[in-house]
Amino acid sequence: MSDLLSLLGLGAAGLSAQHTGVAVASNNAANVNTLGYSRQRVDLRAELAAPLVGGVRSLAPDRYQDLMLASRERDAAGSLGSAGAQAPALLDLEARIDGAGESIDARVAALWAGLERVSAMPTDSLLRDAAIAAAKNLADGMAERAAAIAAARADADARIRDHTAQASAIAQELATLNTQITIDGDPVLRDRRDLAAKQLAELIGGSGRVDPDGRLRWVLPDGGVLVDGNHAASLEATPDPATGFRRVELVDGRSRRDVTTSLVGGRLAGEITFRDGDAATAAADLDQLAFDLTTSVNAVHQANAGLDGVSGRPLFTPLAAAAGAATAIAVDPALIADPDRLATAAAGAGPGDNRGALALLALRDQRVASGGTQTLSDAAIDLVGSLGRRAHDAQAETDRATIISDHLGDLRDALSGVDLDEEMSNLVKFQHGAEAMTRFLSTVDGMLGDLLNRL
Amino acid sequence: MRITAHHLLERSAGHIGAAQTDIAKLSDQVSSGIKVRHASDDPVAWIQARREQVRAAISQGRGDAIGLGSDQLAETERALGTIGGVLSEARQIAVQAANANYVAGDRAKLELQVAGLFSVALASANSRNAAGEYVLAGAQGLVAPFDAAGVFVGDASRRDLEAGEGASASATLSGSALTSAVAGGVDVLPALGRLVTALGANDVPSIQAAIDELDAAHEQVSQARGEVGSMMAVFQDADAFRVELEHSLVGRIASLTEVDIIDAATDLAQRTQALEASQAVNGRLATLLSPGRR
Repeated sequence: MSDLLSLLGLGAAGLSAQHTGVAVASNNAANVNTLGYSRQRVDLRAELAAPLVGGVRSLAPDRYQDLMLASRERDAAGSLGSAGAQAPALLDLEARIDGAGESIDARVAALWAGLERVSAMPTDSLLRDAAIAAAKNLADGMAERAAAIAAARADADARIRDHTAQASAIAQELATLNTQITIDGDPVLRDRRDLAAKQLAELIGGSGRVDPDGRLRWVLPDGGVLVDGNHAASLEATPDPATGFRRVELVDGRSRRDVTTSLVGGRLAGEITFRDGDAATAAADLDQLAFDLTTSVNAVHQANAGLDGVSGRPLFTPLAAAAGAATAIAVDPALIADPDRLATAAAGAGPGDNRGALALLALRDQRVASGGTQTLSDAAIDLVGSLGRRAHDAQAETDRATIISDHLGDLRDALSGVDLDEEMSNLVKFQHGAEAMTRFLSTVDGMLGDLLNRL
Repeated sequence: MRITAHHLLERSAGHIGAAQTDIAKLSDQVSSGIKVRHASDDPVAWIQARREQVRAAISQGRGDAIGLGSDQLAETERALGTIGGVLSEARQIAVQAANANYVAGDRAKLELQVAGLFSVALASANSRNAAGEYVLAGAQGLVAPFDAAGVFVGDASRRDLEAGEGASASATLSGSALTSAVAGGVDVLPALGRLVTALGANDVPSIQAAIDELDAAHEQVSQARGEVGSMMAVFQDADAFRVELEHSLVGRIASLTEVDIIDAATDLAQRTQALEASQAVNGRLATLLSPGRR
């Protein structure tokens, strides 16, 4: 009698195990399209058969996972985030600088062409007006580009602010999930944490490591800890009066540390690299070009004379330093008001002399830009060319990171992805197991009934 | 490797997306004819093309300058031609006036005729270009280079222009070429003036002396015209070379930035086939993996 009752217990446990299998397979199928979901498995454990009755027991469902793969995915997400942030920002800046209106190099060429025409007929007021208009057009173009670069940097700055806020929210979510995971072992919580960690990596880079206590710890490249167990620090974008842009600070209680330059990987680092690297370089190059143009042209212009025979006057308003030159560059207002001041003649020569114009024209072929290494035209071309090269490289890096990310995604899917055919098979398998156990219980129940009837 | 149905569908969709991106890019290239629009498309080609575009723009400016210089020389040549013609005519009158049969009244009539010629020569010597600049004034282009007596008051400087990349040539001739500043030369217009005076004074020896002087002046003007002609030829050659250079630059820019239509069309056909294949595979997968068939 007692053995038959044990068999009933075995049947009940077996039926429960098969039902768990059905539930897990159904849950897997239901989450076939859920982002970050890892398929789960039911772990059936055979009970010891001594002295007579064994049976089966289902352990808590577990998920298919590979911690190393998850770590590589986070690294790849960081690389993809960085390149993915830089490429569109660079392409946008390239379009702002070279896509709208006449390019800077074309305006430089137009100035040379205007001076060349004036050199043929220095006293022609129309040609003088046109040459001065070309110089003004060039100065205006530089100022427009300087504004465009500043706008692109401001846009990046706003994105940095958004990313830091988003990263802080995810860090808090990770800390909360760490706490929940220690209380509840549901694999779905780990899936959510993996997904959040990947999103954080894509945003700010850094590295996540699961400690022996099962809690994920997030460390920034400079060693700063963003998430530690159930505690999360935060990232804040704080305005920096020195630069006019925001710096990124790791804030933990009263501790506050600037991590702007130490971030590597992630969209945040990509935006910072763009704002403080590529775009800042473009702004500095444009300033230098404006300064080189102003100083070299003015030096020649001042050495020569206008139609009135007076020399020593500038063509562009003199600039004190390269910083901000592209914004400040302008044709001397007195020259605009009186085109006769355009120094087309050599000092002491008559108004029909064109040696001043030729001397200005000679600047065209002289390496007066970029510290004496480039002509002004080449520097103007190189300004956009360098940006284009960086955008091209960033796009290639994005493609490369995407391939790696896709590959790791394939590996993850191979391990953790849900396959409906497989789940349907499992469903049928556990359904058959449950049917068998139901029949087994029915048989044992019959046996018990017979026994009881004969008593 | 374990491949899930979900993964198969996602990969298939990814292939379709990639093929569509390729087709969009190629379609854009085929329809616009441009393959390098931005520096990021092909930085090396873009930079080279921009350098050539700058050269082309500068060359166009140079072309305009050469045109203006040539106009200036043409104006100079026209003025010298007129002066040369005047001198020839004046010499004939001088020969006529030197005839012993002529009386004072005859020479007085000829004086009026030569005075008129002098005015024509002086006006020509003080010719201006389209901008109002005196063509023979040297660097003093805003002031008439010859005074009422035909004395040169300009300067001897010439204006050089760029004739090509790294080359220059004179584009003006100073009125000093019509003065005794030229080796063995005479003051051309004053010589004409002296003939007028001699005719008025009925001074036959001076008239005879003027004939030799007019011969020398005519020769001097002819030499100046020859020099101007040489300058014009230099600019004509320079302009022809410049036009050739611009054609070459246009071709080079096109080869750097424009699409090879045959290659692009072939690529487009291949990518279109790839897209169709991807779509077919995707459709087949969708059918194969649909829940109804499981």
